[in-house]
Amino acid sequence: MEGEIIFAAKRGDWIAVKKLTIDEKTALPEVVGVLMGIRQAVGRKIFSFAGVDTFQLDELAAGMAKGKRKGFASAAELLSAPKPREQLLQACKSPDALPHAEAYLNKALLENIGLLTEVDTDDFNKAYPDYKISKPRGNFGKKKRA
Amino acid sequence: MPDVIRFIANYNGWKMEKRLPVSDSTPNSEVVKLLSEIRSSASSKAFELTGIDVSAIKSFAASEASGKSGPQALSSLNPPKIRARLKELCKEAAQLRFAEALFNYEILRLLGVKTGV
Repeated sequence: MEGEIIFAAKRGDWIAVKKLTIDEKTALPEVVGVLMGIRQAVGRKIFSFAGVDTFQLDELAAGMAKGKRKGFASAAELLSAPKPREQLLQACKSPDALPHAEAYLNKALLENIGLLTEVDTDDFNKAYPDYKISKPRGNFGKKKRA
Repeated sequence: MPDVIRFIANYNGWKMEKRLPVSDSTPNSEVVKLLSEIRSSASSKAFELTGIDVSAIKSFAASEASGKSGPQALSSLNPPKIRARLKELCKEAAQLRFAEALFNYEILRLLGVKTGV
């Protein structure tokens, strides 16, 4: 089996390249790993291009989730609570970005209480110890684990 | 290297190619749209390749979300029951965390909780 997975991006100062050439020797975890790498490379950048300061919202989410237990009950409480509009607007380049900031805050709140919605780097490394991948750079707060 | 965003996937019958030349006049909304599509494709395929039963987990999430909407509905979920069912759906213990992540993604989507652009 031959193939490839390539992601290459250049937009202003942002450059990202993820590439895997696939042949009969390529192990499945390598393919999962490169897909996770692509997802990580674009995840934060999407919100950034949408006009959201994600690092500001990471701090906000960490504060809001502080002391909350892991699980659906905390998620219901945090996600149902009124959003701090002023702080969200401060993290937006323009008011148009507010819905995106709210979505990012939701995502960051969930991550803070350990409710993951994607294949996680730690879980990947645990499942495939021979194919460890590194975590993306940045301030991701401290996740609670099950 | 000219400004461009490019994604090519050719793996075991999965073929996808997306390309967007980018200039100063390219609106960020176009870049965001393309990156969101790439992210979604990469994420879905990663779940699939972990070997979890994606369709069974999605069906289970749909049954748990049935008749509910909004984030408050998350408080009515029964975590031990969900974990037990997801365990049943996993062939290996290491897959459970991936199954939980997919379940979480689906249930939030079905309840209308936005976590992406």
